Formats: sequence, C-alpha cells, structure tokens
Amino acid sequence: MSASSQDQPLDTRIQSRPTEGKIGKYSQDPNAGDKEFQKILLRSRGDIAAEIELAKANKDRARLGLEVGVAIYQDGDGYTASRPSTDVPTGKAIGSNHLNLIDASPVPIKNAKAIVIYNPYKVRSVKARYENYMRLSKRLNAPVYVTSMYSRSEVFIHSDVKNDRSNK
Amino acid sequence: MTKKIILITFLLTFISCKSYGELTVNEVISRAEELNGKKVTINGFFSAGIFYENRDAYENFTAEFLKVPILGEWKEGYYKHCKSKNVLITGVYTKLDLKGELGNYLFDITEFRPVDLPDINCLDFLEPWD
Repeated sequence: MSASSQDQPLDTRIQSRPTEGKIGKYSQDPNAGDKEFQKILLRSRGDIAAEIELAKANKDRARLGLEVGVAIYQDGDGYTASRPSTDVPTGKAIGSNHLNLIDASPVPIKNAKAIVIYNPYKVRSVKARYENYMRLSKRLNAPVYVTSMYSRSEVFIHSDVKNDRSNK
Repeated sequence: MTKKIILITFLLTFISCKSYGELTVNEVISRAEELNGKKVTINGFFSAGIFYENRDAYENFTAEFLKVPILGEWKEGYYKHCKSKNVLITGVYTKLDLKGELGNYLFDITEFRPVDLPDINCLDFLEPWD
C-alpha cells in the first residue's frame, strides 16, 4: 500500500484546517524570531532525545511507551528548562519555576514559556492527541511544541492563550 | 493428597488474583503499599497513556493518575471504541521510585475494555512495536 494521508507531514494537513473547533487553534511558532528561545528549544529536544535513547538502552519500561516532555521557563533575558519527564505531558514538572529544578516532587507547571513534548507514536496516534495538546496549552497558558519521530514538529496554541505570553 | 495440594494452590492463586475486585484509580493509589506488584482491575478514564479517576479528574489535571505505557500503535478500532473514555483495565499496579517523578504505573496489561462496550478488548486493536 502506498503512503496514506496518515503518513503525510502533520502541518500540511493542519494548515488546511486552521481551526480546531471550540478547543482552540493551530498556529505558527510564536517564538520563531527569538534566537535564545530557539536555542533552548533545540537543547530541550536534544535532552528529550537523550532521555529516550537512554530509556531504550536500559529497556526502561517507565519511559518507553509514554510521552516525555520539558517545560521551558523565562529566566531574565534568557531561558531555562526543566529536566525531561513523563510528568510534563500531565502538566507537572519538578519545581514550579526555574529556580527550583532539583527537589523531589513534581508540582503543577506554572509560568512556563513553552512546553516541549516528544510523542513516540506514528502520525495517526499523534493526531489523536491534538485535543490533549490543546488542553495542555490552555491549562498552562503556553504553546505546546510536539515532536514525533514520524512527523515534523508542530506547535499547538489554545485560543485562550494570551498573546502577551507568546510575545515575551 | 497431591490433588488436594494442587487444588489449594490453585484456589490460593485464584483468590490472590481476584480478591481486589474492581477498583478506582484513587483507591489503588491510596492503597499503594498493599497493591504494589498486584494484578488489579481498575475502572477509570483513559486518555493518551494516562489513567485518571474519571473525566473530571482528566479535565482538571489532577495529581492522582496512573501511567500506562503502551508499547505499540493503535489501529482504527481503538479510536472508534476506546479512545478517551471510561474503561476497565487489568494490569499489574507498580509504584516506582523515579527520583522525583510520579511513579504510579500499570504494567503488563491483559484486559482493556470500554465500560459501555465490555465485549470489546481494546488490546485487540494494538499493533505491538518490534
């Protein structure tokens, strides 16, 4: 069977339907022009990829088969990121802000600049989670960057996310 | 005598597997020490690898949830019958110490049925990874 529509890059299909009904809308990267942000975004994706590779090498059943994410926080003129965790897609991370990344329990993410998530599944499964990403974006008032090994990275921003946050 | 021993062993095994009945996510987490490593059947709201007490808990991002790693790709039937709804899942509850991460997991899933369609086993729609 030839490549189906499920195998097409996600953004091609999303751009053909720019709204997601009541739950929000898809947008271009609001931080595309922010070089510092793009650096931390790239580094976060690298951290997540390293975490996934480590999980594969160790056959870590607590990581494999789950999404792994990072929360990015504003830190003065720059940014900092939480450590990669399977809690981030549930809206939690170690420490509620960038000053507190090493102590014990995950807490609800607050004041994040962005959320970065790696989805280990193929396009159909990624698509099935659009609602989750929009929901997360609304909850955290931040764009959610989703990367999958089978598709290009996407940005999900709920329509309730305030513009001033994405323009910081 | 041998038959009796076999029968008793079988009954004990059966009882140990079945004695917990149908639990909720919050019940399992509150009985974590007792249930750690035990096979349990849980009724809750499942979405994107996370098992919540109910839809409200999912909507409100509560801290009480189980992670259910899915090592494969779902086929169409999953999206039609099983996605983001109340389900019954049977698996081994495991509490892990993960250096700060929330460590409530359900591994070794053997049954996964929508509450409204109990004849369907969602695992039939799973294509395991190599």
